[in-house]
Amino acid sequence: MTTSPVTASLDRVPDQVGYLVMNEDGAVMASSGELENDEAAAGVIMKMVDVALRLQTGTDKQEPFKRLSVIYHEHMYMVTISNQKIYVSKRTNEHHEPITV
Amino acid sequence: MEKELDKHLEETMSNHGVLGTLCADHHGMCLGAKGSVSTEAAGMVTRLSELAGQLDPSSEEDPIICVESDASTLMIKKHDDITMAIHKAKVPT
Repeated sequence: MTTSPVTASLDRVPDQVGYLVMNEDGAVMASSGELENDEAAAGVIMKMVDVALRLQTGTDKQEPFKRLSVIYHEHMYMVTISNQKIYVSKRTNEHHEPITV
Repeated sequence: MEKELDKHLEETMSNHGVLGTLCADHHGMCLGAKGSVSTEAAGMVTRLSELAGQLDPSSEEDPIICVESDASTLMIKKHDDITMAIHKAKVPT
């Protein structure tokens, strides 16, 4: 896959272990790392984006979401939409132990 | 049981920045809702938590889902068969 300016900037996301770029139909346009050619994850994320876009809550009526995050203990997926493309970044989740004083 | 749940939802609502809260069962049926989150969102909230669990089928952990907009965040977490959603205003930094 050729490196476009978009994927070049995705490569710079801190703690990233993989990314996906999809078009509005859910077709994977670029992928890397742990999400390379991960059609299953792409399919699930597309469905989640569809539900999240329909999810309207009181004050946010008609306002689309800016970011959708799925946070696990060890890693997280962050999803955003820009220019009719869906960007997914999988990152490791940094844990900081609470300080007891 | 209903009174107990209602009490918990009220308690959640009293936290700083909380605009609304919702509780749904695994079928997507609303068990209780307060504030800005409408009962109609129950199905979608449950569906989102179900889909998020499919992202990492090997993980036994139920992830936290955050739907962020400019003004607020909707946080969703599944506990056993119950899905809880909290709608929170963004605190200006």
